Amino acid sequence: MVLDKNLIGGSTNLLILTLLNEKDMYGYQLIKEIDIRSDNVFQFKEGSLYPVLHKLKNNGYVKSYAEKGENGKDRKYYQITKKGQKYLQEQTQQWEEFTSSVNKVIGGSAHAYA
Amino acid sequence: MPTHKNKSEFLQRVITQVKFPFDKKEIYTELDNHIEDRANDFLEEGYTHEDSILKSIDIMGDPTVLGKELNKIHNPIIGWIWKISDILMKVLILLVIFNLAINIIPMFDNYSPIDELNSDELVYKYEFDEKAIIDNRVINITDIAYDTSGNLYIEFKTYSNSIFTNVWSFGNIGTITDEFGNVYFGGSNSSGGYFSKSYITIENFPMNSRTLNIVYDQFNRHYEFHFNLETGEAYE
Repeated sequence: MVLDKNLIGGSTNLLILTLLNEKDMYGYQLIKEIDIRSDNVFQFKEGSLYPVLHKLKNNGYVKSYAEKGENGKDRKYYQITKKGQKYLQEQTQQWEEFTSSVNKVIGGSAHAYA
Repeated sequence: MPTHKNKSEFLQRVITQVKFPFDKKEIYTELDNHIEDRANDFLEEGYTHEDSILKSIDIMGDPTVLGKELNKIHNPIIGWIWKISDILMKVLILLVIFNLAINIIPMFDNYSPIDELNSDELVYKYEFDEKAIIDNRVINITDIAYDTSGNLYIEFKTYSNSIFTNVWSFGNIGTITDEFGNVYFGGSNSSGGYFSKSYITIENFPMNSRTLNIVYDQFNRHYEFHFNLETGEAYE
């Protein structure tokens, strides 16, 4: 199943920050991690990750640093900041409230007929 | 190699949209790395070298759309403001360091004419701790001594009670008078700095004057010091 990209839109920040909260990663690493964890459900244009990442950086939720990766190439790693962690906490909470409300509505009818 | 040309063409088309010059190189490298990484993975999956790169470029999306999105974030106005304020900040830090250095050095100047006097040259010497404050400057009179040649020495410290203001030379601590109403204008060696030790020497001060008055009344600022030269610990 491939999800509509509009659906993913709002939650991209949440996905990225959640992953960065585990460890520092560079862009491609993030994409691969999202692919693996979502069983390739999110098929978005990979370039579109960067405007999101750079915006997170502008907002101070992440910062970046250059470091040599496994193959000796200079990688731009992203690291979540304290502000980013706080924001992630809020966003996660909102996401949970949102999904549980949606579940109540779509699952509610099922309950009614159960 | 045509694929190589495709990749640099893709990257160029992204970068053309980004108006802030200082971020272009970093964006270019980051996207270049991404395409290379993706291509390597496709290569491992069994695609040909050419297909791997072409597929990697394709999966990135439209370069112009991506470039425009990036340009919104790498805003040239904010970018320039940031760049200029970054340079200004560095200049400011250097100035602060320089300022601190030239202000702290005089603090180690411990020369005191009173200490230079031998005890047989001393007529009297008093220690005080009298303070007056003008704006951010504290004037602290610490020692008054009189020698056998008729010189009166007034030693004082000036310092700032705020780290943001330094105390530039404060030669004039006020009008100095003796018990008989004679007015003296003593020269001072006051140096600048956050903290400085200064002294005033008054020649031919009457030995029998029992008081020393310093009155400052300038620029709407006023303070007065009145010293009794009979009390305290006299040498003779």
